[in-house]
Amino acid sequence: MSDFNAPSNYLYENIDYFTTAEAHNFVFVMDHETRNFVPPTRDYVYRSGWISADSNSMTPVNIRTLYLGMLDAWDGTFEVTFYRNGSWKPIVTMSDVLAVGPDDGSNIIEDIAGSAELAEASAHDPRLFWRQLPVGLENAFTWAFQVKSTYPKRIHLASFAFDITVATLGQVRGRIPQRGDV
Amino acid sequence: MSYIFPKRRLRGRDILDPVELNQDVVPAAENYSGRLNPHNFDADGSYTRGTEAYIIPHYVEQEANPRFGTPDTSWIMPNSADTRSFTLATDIEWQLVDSMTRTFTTNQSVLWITGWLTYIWLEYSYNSSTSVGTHVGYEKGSARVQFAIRVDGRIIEHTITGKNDNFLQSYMPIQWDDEKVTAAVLEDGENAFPGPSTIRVPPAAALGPPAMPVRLGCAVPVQPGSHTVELVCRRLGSENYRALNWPTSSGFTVLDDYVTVFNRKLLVLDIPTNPAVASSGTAVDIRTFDAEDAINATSLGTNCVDKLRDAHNAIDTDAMGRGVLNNNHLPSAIYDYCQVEFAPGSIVSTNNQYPGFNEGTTIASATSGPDIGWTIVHDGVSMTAAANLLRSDATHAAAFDATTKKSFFVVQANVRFINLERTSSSPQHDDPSSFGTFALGYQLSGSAAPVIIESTICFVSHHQTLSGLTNVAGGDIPENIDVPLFWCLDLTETLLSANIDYFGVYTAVAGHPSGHEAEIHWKHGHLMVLKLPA
Repeated sequence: MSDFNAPSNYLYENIDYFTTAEAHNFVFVMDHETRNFVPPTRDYVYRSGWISADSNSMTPVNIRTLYLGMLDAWDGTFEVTFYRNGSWKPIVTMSDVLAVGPDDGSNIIEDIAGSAELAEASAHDPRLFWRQLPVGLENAFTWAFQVKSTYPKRIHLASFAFDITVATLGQVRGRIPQRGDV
Repeated sequence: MSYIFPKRRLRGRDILDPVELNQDVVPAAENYSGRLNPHNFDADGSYTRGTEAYIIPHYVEQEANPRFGTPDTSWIMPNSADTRSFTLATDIEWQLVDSMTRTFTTNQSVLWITGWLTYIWLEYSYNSSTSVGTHVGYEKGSARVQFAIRVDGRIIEHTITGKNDNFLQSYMPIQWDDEKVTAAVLEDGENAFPGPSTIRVPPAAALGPPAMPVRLGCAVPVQPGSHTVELVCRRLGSENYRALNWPTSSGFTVLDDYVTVFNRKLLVLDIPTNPAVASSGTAVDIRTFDAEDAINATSLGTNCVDKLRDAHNAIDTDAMGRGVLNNNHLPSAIYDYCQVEFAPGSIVSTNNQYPGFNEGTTIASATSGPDIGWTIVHDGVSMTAAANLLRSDATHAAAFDATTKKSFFVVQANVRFINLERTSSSPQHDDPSSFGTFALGYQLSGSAAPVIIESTICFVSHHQTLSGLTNVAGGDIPENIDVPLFWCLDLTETLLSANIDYFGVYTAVAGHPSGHEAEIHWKHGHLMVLKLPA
C-alpha cells in the first residue's frame, strides 16, 4: 500500500476508498485477479454534426420536431440536448426520453429482465420504433443535437429525422444580420 | 491467455433480446471446448504433479581409472590401461566420446544438456636419476582438444570449448628460433627440416592443459520425435602432433601422442514445453434462445445455465487448453535445493595424498601431514565445521530426503584451483608430473564418514609455463583453473536406504614416483544441489 501513489486528497489509507467510483478507475496488476471490480461510471454520447438548411448556412430555419429512430435496448430514459448557430452552449435539454418504444402488445416492455415472469415471459427481437421530441429552436442558421446515456443505461440509435420551416422576413435571406447588428 | 469478458452483465432494465441473452452464455460454452485457461482455476498450487510432468532425465556415466597407483605401493604415471578409458583419434574430426550418447523420444521440449569429463594428455615422463618429471608433448604446444555437445548430428556451436576457429593462433613476438632441431631428428643425426624456423605457437582454439576436467552444457529446443544427444570431442593441430619425436639413447622415438578421457558423464533433462495432447474433444451443449422463445426454468436453467454450471464443476480434461496451467497453479518443479558460496580469506592448501581410485572411504582427518585420504575443501580455519567447508550443510543443515520420493539429484560444483607445486625438493615448482585431484562425496545419515563418488574423480596438473617452449612447468606461475565437478544421483527406480546428510567437494594430491611430495592450492568455490521430481 505504501507504494500506492495516490493524490494526497484521496483517502487511500481507508479501505472504504476502494469501493468508491474513483477507485475503480485504477487498475492494480498483481499475480492474481480480483473479483470485486465494478466498472467505472461512463457516459455514452452521440453528438450530431452541425445541420443547416442549405450548403452555405444562409437560410434561417425553425426546427419544430426531432424524430429519433431506435431499437429496444433498455427500459429507461436518456438525455437529449439541442444547440444552435455553432455554439455548444446547451439551448434545450430534456432528460426524460424513453429508450424503448411503447409495449403495443408486443410484451417487449412487460418482459424486461427485472420483472419478467418465469414461464410466462418470452425473448423478443428488438424492433425499430420512433420517438418525437419537440425542439423549439427558432431562427437558426445551423443546429445540432446530442444524445447521452449513463452506464448501465443503453440506447440503440438507428436513425433520426426532423421537421423544419424556413424562417423568413418576407424573403429567405431576410433574417441575415445587418452590418451593424450586435 | 487473455480473459474472456462477458459483453454485458444482465440488469433489471434490459430487454430480453435473444441475441444478447445468447451472448451472455455462449462464450462460457465455447470456452469449455478445450479453451479453459489459467484464469478459470484457483492459483493455490494444490494440484497433483504427474509422473515425469516437468523433467524426464536421461543419464549415462562411465568410470575409468588413470591408474596412478596408491601411496602404499608407489605412484606411477597415468596411463590408458583401463579399457574403460577412451583415447581420442588424433585428427580434427568430431568423434563420439565413447558411450556418451543417449537416444530417446520427446514431445515438444527443451533439452537441458550437461556433459562432463576429465582428460589427460598421456605424455608424462619421469627421470628417476634426476627426480625430474616432464611432459613430453607440452613443449610442442598445448593439448589442443575440443569438446562439444551434438544433438541429432548437429554440433551445438556455442558449446565448443575453446574457439570455434580451428586455425586461431596465439599472438607471439616475432623472433627466430634455432634451426628445427627440436622438430624431428633423422636417424643419422641430421635435422629433418633444416633452416631457421619461427616459434611454434600453441593454437588458442582449443584446451591446452595436459590434464583437466571439463563441464559443458546447453539448452536446446527440439520438436517431437526421436533425438540423439552426444558428447563429442576432437583434436586440433595436425602439424604439431605428427612431428612429436623424442630423442633417446638409441636414436629417436616417435611417441604416441594421445589424449585420453577417463571419468565422463552425460545428463539430458527433457523438459516438455507443451505437453502432448491426445484429446477427443469435449463440449457442453446448451440450447440457445430464438425470438419469442419462452423464458422458463427449462430454457434458462435446465437447458442452459445448469448445463454450464454442471460442466464447469466437473471439468473434463479435454476442456482445458494445451499447457495452460503455469507455475502459479502447479506444485514446485523442484523438491529441494541448496547452494553454497565458498570464499576463504586466503589461499588454502594441502599435501594429503590421493588414496587411489577405488579408495572412496579413505578420508583424511588432518589438514596436511601428509595424511593419506581425501580432504574436504575447507577455508583453512576448520575442516570439520560445516560453515567452513565447501559442503552442502553449510547452508542446508537438514538431510536431503533420499528414501521416500522418487527423484534425481543434480550436483554441480566449481573450485578455483590455484596451483600445484612440489614441496620437498629443488626445483620446488617446476615439476609437471605431480597431480591434484578433485571429487564429489556425500555422507548418508547414520554413517560415520563420507563416501567419495568414483565417477566424479578428476585430475589437474602443474602445467603453466612462461612460453610454451620448455618441457617443464614454469616456476610458481599459478594455473588459476576453474575446476568443474558434476554428478547425477538417479533415484527414479531405486531409493537409498538412508537420507543424505550432505554433499561435499574433496581434494588430494597424486604424488610423484619417487615420493616427492606435492601440494595443491585452492581458493573460491561453489556448490549447487538440485533435487528434482522424477
